[in-house]
Amino acid sequence: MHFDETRIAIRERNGIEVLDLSVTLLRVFLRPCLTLFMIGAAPFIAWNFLLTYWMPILDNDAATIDVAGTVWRYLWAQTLLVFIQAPLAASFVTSFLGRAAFDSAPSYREVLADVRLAGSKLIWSMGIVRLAFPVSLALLTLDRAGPFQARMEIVMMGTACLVVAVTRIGRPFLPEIIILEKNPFRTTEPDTVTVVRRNRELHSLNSGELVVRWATTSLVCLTLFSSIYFTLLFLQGMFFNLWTQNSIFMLYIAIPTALWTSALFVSLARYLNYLDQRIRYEGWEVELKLKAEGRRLVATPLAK
Amino acid sequence: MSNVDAQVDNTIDIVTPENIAFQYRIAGPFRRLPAFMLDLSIRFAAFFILMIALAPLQIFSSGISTAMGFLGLFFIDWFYGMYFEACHNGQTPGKRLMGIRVLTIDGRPINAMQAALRNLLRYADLMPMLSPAMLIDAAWPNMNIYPTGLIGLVACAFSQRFQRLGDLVCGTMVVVEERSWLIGILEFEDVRTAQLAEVLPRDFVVPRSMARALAAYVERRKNFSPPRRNQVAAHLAQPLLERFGLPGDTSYDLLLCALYYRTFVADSPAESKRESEIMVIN
Repeated sequence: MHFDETRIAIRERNGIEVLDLSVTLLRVFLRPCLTLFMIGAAPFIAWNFLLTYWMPILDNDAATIDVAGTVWRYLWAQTLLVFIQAPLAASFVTSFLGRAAFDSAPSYREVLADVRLAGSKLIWSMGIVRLAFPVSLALLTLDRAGPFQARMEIVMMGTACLVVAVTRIGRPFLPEIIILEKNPFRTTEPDTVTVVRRNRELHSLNSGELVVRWATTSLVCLTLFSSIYFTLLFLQGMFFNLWTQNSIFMLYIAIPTALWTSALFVSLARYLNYLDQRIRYEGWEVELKLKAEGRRLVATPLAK
Repeated sequence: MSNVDAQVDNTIDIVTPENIAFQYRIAGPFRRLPAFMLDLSIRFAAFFILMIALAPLQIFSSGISTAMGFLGLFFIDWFYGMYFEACHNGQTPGKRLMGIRVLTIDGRPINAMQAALRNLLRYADLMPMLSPAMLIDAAWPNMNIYPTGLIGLVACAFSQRFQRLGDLVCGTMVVVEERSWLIGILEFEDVRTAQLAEVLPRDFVVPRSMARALAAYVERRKNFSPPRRNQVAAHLAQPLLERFGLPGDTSYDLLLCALYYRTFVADSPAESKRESEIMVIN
């Protein structure tokens, strides 16, 4: 491995450049990114469908039912779930990109092994502390035959979403730290850097900029979601002459497709932002160059 | 998994027929979007001003006023981009503000035909378009005015030069105007740097790649905390200390600075040193 010969060009970039490079990254690694993202996201897609499929009621004849309201309820629940689960679902992609930065052809086996190694840490930090599993379980407790429970679905879920959002704005690169840096959770040695310590150190350097980058990425994510969703609406109209948003296709195919595609793009942008954070504030590219030179020096015999 | 071995970046190398090589940074969809929005705002503002200017005509004939309004809208919408890109070296006001420019794929300025065609095809890139009726669940769209832009985004994403359909047809691309700074030789206030440089073995020749790594380190070290400096420098300093036979407690940071000093300051000829000093900016 040559530390100074990376597959992804290592240099400082601004937020817009990172977003553009995410597009390039998706083009270059399209197949592995889609495959690995599907491996990570498929269980969540199926689980979310089971949790929410009953919410929209499309029976227009029932005068007492607010059809649009039930659709909004479904959209809210799906968006919330994808938002909270996305970093966990993108673990395989993150692992792949970490390896792809140095290795021209990382294998699926290596990627799966990396994620398996970080599995318990990911489940604890992303699944439990960052509420991916508790929120899913809370939705499971909803009474499907009963009326809309605003306190549970709006207030409690909204608060959970807000808490996760605030945590993720301040500490966005926790998945990258766990998967790529492989720090332990606990240690008895004072010199060993733990996940918590590394998480604090990496994110304390530029909290203001992190907020700006999060806002930019969110805006792009929203635009991308709208673009995909309305294109699918257009395609439904063109092929089936059906221009309604309250159809089986729009609810169960278009909404999850648009949400998860946006989530994949955000994962790529987050990984590149993580690299940029390390380059900008830790001189990662300099460290790689010096490390490569150090290795060359050791490998070069002394001149007699 | 992937067969592509080129480094992943948004730059492109172009060699002109005169055998001059340029490297351009390509503007992707997200760098171009703010420029597009700015140009859209300017077009709206121009149309608004036109409508105010035409308002007195309403007194004489509302038909003529409306017709002139539509004519103005047509000209502003269709010829704004074409005029600016053809006459202002590939830059509309929005592109100028965002520091981007349209060039041909071989790095030359675009001509009027290319400017016209790529602006004409802008609407194809904004497809598919939706109508307000569709969003409020009417039976059939009546006026498609809301662009989704997915055609342009997909075309950009799958093109190495981030070309939308208009660019692909005209053989153009949008590049970022680079403003690069040359960093000259850096000076050290710490006198120990020069003293340690004197002690380093004269027969050790710094390879070109190591000189580049040293320059990168010295340029960036001011941004790192002292513990981080030593942590970064240790990768090269530890084998160097061993090679030079220097005491193990020598500061890693100081050693790399001393080697930089010897390579770029002490050993460089006086003439080139003077030129280097002239190159120092900020």
